[in-house]
Amino acid sequence: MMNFCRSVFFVLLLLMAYSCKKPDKPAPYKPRFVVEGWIEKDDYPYVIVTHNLPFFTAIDSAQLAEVVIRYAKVTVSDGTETEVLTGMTDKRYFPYFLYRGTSLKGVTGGNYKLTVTYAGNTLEAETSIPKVTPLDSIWFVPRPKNNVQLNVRFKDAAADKNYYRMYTKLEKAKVFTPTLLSNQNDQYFNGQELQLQVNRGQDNNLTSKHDPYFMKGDTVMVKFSGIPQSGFEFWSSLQDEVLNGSNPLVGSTKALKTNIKGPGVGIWCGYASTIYRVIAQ
Amino acid sequence: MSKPFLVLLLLLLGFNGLAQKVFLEGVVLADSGRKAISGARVSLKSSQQQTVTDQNGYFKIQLDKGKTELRISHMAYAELSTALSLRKDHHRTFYLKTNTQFLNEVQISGDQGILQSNLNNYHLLRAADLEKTPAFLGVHDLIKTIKTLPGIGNGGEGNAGLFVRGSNSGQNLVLFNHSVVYNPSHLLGFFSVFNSNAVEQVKFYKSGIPSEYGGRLSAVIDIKSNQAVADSLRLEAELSVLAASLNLKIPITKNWSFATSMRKTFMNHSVWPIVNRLGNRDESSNQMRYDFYDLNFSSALALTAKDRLFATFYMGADDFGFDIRRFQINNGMDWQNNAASLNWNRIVSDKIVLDNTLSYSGYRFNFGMQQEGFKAGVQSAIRDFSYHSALQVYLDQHQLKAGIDLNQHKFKPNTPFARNGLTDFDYGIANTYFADEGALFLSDDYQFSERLSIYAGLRLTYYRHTGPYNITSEDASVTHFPRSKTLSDELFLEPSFTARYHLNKQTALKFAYSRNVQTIHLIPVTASNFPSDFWMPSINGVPPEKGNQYSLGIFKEWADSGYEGYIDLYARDSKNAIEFSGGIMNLFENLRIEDHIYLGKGKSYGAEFFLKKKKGKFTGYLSYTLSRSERTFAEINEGQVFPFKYDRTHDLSLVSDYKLSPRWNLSALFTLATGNAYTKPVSRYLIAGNVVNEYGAYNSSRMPLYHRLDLSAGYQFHTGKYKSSLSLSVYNVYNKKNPMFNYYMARGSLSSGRVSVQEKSIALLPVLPAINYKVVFR
Repeated sequence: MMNFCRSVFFVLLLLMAYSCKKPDKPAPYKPRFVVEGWIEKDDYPYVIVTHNLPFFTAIDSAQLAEVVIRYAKVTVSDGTETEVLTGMTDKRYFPYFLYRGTSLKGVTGGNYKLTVTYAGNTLEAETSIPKVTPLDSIWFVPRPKNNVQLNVRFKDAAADKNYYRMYTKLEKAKVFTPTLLSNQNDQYFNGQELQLQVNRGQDNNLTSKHDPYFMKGDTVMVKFSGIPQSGFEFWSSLQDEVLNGSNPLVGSTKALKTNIKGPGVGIWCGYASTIYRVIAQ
Repeated sequence: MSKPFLVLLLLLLGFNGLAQKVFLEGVVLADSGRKAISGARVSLKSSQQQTVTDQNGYFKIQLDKGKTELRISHMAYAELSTALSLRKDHHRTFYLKTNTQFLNEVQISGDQGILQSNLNNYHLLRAADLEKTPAFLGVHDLIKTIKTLPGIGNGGEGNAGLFVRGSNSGQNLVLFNHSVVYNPSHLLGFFSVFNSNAVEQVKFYKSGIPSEYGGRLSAVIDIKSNQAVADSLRLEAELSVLAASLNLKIPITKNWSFATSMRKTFMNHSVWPIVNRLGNRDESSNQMRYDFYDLNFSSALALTAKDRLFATFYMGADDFGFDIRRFQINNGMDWQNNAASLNWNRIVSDKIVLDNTLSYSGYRFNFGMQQEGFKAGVQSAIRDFSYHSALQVYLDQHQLKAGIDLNQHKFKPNTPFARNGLTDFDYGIANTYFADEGALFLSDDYQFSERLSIYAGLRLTYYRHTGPYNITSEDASVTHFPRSKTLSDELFLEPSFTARYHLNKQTALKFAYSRNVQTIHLIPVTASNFPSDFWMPSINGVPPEKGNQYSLGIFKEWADSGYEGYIDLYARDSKNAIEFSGGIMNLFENLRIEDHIYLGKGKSYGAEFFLKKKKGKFTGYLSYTLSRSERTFAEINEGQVFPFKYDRTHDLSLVSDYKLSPRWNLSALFTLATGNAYTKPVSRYLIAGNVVNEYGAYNSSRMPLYHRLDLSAGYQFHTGKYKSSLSLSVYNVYNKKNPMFNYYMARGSLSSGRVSVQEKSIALLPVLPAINYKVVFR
């Protein structure tokens, strides 16, 4: 038995030594550009260019100030007109600096090509503006504690492939916030009338403050946009990551979609939006 | 041990059949019920030679010519000693009397040596073995006990899966009285669906899968209830903090009996309120609720001395809820396993046994998610009918087995539904798959010489996916295939080979090889092997998984000192292993499951060490596995090799049991394992005011080392006509938080310039004490 035990012991020792050899490779950080661009029907294009950050546990204001790319050449072309966008400060959108056009405006059915060049890198993306779908009706349903819940109804066009995105804000707020489940694909309700109970979304994923309802008497702005497929895929994957990344039962895809070609991620998206102003009651 | 094995092997090939020896073969049956007794030890008084009966009660042993005294023993029966005088090969049937005294106290089957049990390619577990490991909240469990054996990875806290030798949990064939059980766990793996009162024995194969089993790559867990006709009324009742169970056996006539085991938990009134209160202090808190039940019915009928019928029915269901308060999201899951089988066993002659089984398996699963007016969910269902017939023939040195297996499957995986306000989303025609399988198998267990025996088997399977079937293409047009139409089919061969060689009476070497094909797949969707992982059959685009497994081990027994142990080395490879791209939400978006499936290769290898002490007041075992399991997928990790999620570099279990006095009994379980591989963010970016994670190399990070200690103490009361016992158990004694899932939460504000990202873990169970009271009436 002793011999046997000794053999066992040596085999064990050998295997353990073998198994301990590999050091964990540090996870590589790949620097990338991040593009968030939009062109609304009847409005100029807007583009924010930043870069990603290595995974530190805390980000301070110096790092946040440093993510913005200020000296990129950003052009948007609709096939006939090409405009170089101008970098400017805009207090509505973090990091408070964006590129904006002053001549070219979005039209229904238009195709728009975005090109960003910076320090020898070129990023490209294309998008289009789909048809406008109006909301047929907006109303509020009472909820406890003087709250009301937004409800909307619209009719999907059977002949078109449609994707939708919805936002709300209080009239006094600077920017629209996407609703909690903000993206819709007409694959599942093509040609039908769709009635939605709408919950407000969180401002962003940095806060746990979440109030799904409006108060009676609020002046509510509702924005309803038609978006192209690439936009739907991006915003759905973002929603999936934000909502489900912490849910072990559901799990997220762990990779946001993008339509940016080149060393970058993000979204360049056309919107066919209608904005409604309603009083919550 | 250092003797050159090959030389010996060659020598032995020349010395097959020794003079002055005769063979005794026989069948051991219970005198009541005429049930074959498997696992009975047949030994000779004069020498150390011994053997163990197989599932038909059959044994064969080589003896010296002349007078011999034979002893047949089994824990549940009175020992039989008989004198024989043999001049030539002889065949005989032996009957054992039920040992009523022993039936009261279930004993560990320590009498069966490792040389017999492990050389058969399987671990044999009996009801009594389960009672040797500490109970979880007072309940002994089969799958939890299997997880303590070498080579069996524990998926981590809250993971129901069994990960055998680096394979996926869906690559195990789980049979309960001949019926396939698709989801053998009650949620979180803390309990298996097998009520230990309804389990008599379990054969657990992790290498050299015999040819009579088919359809899975990794392992076989063959669970059987007691098939004997009960001879007296027996009632057991059990009560713990979380469950009540009832176990009843009724003899109807001398040859016919009925048994039932029922179990129902009431954790929503005991455990979860406490867990929820303890764990939920901050805003990211979650609420949990969960309960399940099991019903087992069986009836045994001895038609004649040679024909036995055994009918079983199982039904069990779970209901689980998990609420994320942060988003007012309510998740709910419920699922149900059903199984029924009818088995007819006929002893055709002394040397031929015919076994026929008709069986049914059903499984259904519902997942629902609600966020205010938005409701969405998926439903899955499986229905199988199968017929299995095997003929076992005992010839001189051969045990031949031949048979047929017919299976018909219907799968309806992940039928989505969604409703937003008043509108039902239209997901088109649900995916329904019909598939059938026919297999022929033949095997021979050949006792080549006293030292060498060889098992060789072959299984030929024809698999096809048939109509009715609808393919929905991207433009939403539907192509229909009628009932008789074969959409895809495949014919394949699965060989199995095992060679066992005794170096001496107490040491043996074993080599096993098998090639296996798996035609139905468990698609992993969730982070932790939840039941929402779903099954689907092979279709165009999702080919059968194929794999080879090899193992070489040395098995040793120290009979006098009561120790046994083994070292087993293994290697496995597989192709068409499956990973699912995305989460469960992707199932809502796209109906074509095959478009979300990645196929790749798997490879695993490792060394298993097992040492068991069987004698004395202090018994127990230590099992340790050193292993690696890797995968390569063209679409994942840029085609680079990545570790399998349940890759376990180290996996250790220590199970011990101490008999303090005839009434007091203490047991302990310590387990330690490398954490699961997972994908961690390496960078992040800011978009639309959100901080978004960018994930690094697939499965390149590890959860922390998993370790846990459980203790239990049992006390037996003897009070007159009925017997009772009280047990106290503590799960996770030193309150280790073993996280099952990590996620990353960003907090702060971009405008104020301060953002922090916190790593959050979900760990399920803190230290949990429990008390359990059991009464047995006879």
